[in-house]
Amino acid sequence: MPQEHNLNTDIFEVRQSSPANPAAGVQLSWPCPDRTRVHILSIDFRYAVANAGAARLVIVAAYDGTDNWGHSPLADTVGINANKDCSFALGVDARDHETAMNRLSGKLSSSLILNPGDSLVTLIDAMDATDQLSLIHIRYKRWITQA
Amino acid sequence: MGHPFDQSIFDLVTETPANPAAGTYGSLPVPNGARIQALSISCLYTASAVVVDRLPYAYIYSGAKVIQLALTKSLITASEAVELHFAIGIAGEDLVATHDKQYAALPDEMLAVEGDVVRINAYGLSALDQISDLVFRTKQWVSES
Repeated sequence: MPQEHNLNTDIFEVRQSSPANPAAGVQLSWPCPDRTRVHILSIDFRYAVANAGAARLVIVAAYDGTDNWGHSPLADTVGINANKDCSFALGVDARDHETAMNRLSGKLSSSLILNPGDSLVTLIDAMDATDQLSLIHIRYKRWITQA
Repeated sequence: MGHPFDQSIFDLVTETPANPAAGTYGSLPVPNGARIQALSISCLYTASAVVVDRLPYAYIYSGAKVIQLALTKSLITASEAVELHFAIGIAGEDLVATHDKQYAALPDEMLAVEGDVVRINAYGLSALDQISDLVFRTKQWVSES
């Protein structure tokens, strides 16, 4: 049973979400649950980049229904025609190991604190209609507000 | 019901697990009823003569998922023995050429809960590669029973 409290920043739960894959060509949008505040600690996913178009710029950010903030890029753009494993976390080094390992990382903004109505999103520049996001895992701290 | 993991009340714990078998990652399971935060992870990575690139990484293994992942700056090649040091807040550096060491930043809040395992591993880990001299420094919160 979740601890219910009034957003005491010293007392939170650690949780994980593995949302369903978006449709091909569709960005991720993970909504903050009701009666909850979350702080995103990390997000990992696989990005299957179709063999079409230009190099993609992969960004994770927050969205409040009007504006985005906390734009967090990977270490470099990713090339076409392969699966790229992408990892973002607070405080890590942004690394580009695409050539040898198809793996890249990015430093996640510490500003990704969401209230109900906000979402964690990807903002992939030059995303193709047949690109696919999968294996999405989000780690976060959460505070559940009293009813 | 135990206390709800007040973040201002924690223990500091240094763990030195036994060396894993060759070709196996290093692990620190979260104790039952606890939450831990990895502050630093160190080990010696001794690569076998098998010619393949290794990319070391630290992460949490949670429900068969790899999360909160930190990558080193450079790859390890055949027959290298490299000290790996992951810690919060440091700059990642490759000092293998002069000092056989690599440094990498851990996630700022690498929080693991019961059922999770904090691990150090390498993409390209070869069957005769050896991870040894493991040291995990953690914050630990234990729920009162």
